Amino acid sequence: MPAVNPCYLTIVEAGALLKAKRLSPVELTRAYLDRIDSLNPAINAFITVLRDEALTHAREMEKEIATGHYRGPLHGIPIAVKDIFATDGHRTTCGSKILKDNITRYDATVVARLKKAGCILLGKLTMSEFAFGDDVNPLTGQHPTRNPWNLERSVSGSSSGSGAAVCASFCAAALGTDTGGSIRLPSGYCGIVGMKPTYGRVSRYGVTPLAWSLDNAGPMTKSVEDNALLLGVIAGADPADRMCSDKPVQDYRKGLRAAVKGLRIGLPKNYFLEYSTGDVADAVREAAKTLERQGATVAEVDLPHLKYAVGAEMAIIFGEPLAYHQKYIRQGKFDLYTDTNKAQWDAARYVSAADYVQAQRVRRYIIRDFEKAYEQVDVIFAPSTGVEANPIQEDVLADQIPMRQVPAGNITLWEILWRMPSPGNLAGVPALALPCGFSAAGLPLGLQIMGRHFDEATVYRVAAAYEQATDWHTRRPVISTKA
Amino acid sequence: MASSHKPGAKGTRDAKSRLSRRQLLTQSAALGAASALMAGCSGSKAGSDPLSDENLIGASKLSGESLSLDRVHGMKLMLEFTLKQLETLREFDPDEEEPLTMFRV
Repeated sequence: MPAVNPCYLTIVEAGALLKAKRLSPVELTRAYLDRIDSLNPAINAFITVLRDEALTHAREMEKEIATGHYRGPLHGIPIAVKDIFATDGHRTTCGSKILKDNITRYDATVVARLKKAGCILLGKLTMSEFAFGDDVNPLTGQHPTRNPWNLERSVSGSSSGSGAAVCASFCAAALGTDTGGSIRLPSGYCGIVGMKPTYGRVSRYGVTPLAWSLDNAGPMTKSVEDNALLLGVIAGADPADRMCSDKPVQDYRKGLRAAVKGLRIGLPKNYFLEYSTGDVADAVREAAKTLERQGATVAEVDLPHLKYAVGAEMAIIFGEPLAYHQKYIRQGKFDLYTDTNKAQWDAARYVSAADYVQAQRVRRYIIRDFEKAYEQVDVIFAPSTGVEANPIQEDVLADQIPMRQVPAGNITLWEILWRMPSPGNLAGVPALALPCGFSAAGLPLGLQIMGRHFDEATVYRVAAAYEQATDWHTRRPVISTKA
Repeated sequence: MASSHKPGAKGTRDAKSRLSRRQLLTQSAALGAASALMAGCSGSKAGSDPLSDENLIGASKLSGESLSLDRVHGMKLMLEFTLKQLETLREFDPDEEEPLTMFRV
């Protein structure tokens, strides 16, 4: 066993020890399961913990390594997935009472790929109901998932359990999904690394849809290199998902040590920074300066059609899910939804078909804005969340929407949290969240790095350079188990 | 998609006599909303506030499910927020661009 707690290791660190037989998959899996047993009651990140199955699988992985059948850097690495991914023989609840007994009989493509690479599945993670509503454990009614940095703060959603579990070192990595920020918001609130890949880069087969034209699956990890490693395994063509691209998958780890000298970073003139709190905006600007000192150049870019982005995101993310959920509503299951989803499905009835079509038209203009910007720069920096993690009580649907004071004025927290991630979903570009500082309250602040379509490699290269120049990613929360 | 206008044909009609696309969009949206509300409401008092309980219940009937008063109250804050965002989207006045249908980049 290594001197440090093995739960704190990155995948790359643990993988090296596993390969060298200085750490066994069983030891590592048991360490995570013990940590989940002792600390998960305070965090509420898991819907299902697969203790026996994980240990059995770990023994198989250990035996393979012992007999010289080494699968690669993910061999023996314990992970967990948002409970929206189908896993063979387990419940896949989507965080909803509607699916609380839903046993799936196959693995989502991405889960199958991770298992083939040697990953051990520790369990299924909490999430906002159907990736959109309240964050409730459908079995216990326990609410909500808590932020390991401060148990009274939100993790955000919808991949809430994924964010909290990686942050709390309950697993080496997790999978999440992102339709309007659901990987990047919890990654930002928890100070971890989360990638929403290019639309179509990762298969969504076996992933319950929220909004088909915006949905993505992606990795959530402790480090940029771990994230690059995981994406390299889960990305790639899948005939089972018609929107999945057959473009070849790059070796994302290959360029991670390359210098950023000459690389061009864009800071948007409009839309993002003036709608973020001062500490977040300063941290994002400082992140750009950090890489400027390493030889990158920084220039302002204009993305004029983003003024329509939140409206377009709302039209799509209300319209498409209502169409999907009609089946449950018709079956008389409306009352089983959480209050937030009830409100969303009902409000969605007043979004017109013309709104939806205009939203899909706006996307072409937003894509063009990004393409023009990428003629001048290689990546674009923006905040991932725009604010520090909000108090948990602000997640509950109440009579008033919580407000925040930002340079643009006094605006709703909801608008900020839709505003920061939406452009990435609408344009379909890769967008990575990673930590770029801490607020006065000791909560992580998040940077978002967006790149060209299918150019995740450059995003990772820039993120790795920033990570190596800073120490935000090395900080870990001290989790209080006191009630 | 081919443009609906012949190249060069744009602007050949009398500019004073035609409505801009934005005017058309705004007016047709207003007409659509008004007729939806009128069709869904039995009383005449409901017309003044489009977000009144009565109007929202009436309009919901047209969407396929008549909402109860509780459900209208439960979603009103969400609807107001959404409509505020949609206001900006409804100002979008594209020149010529078809929507994304199969979004594959």
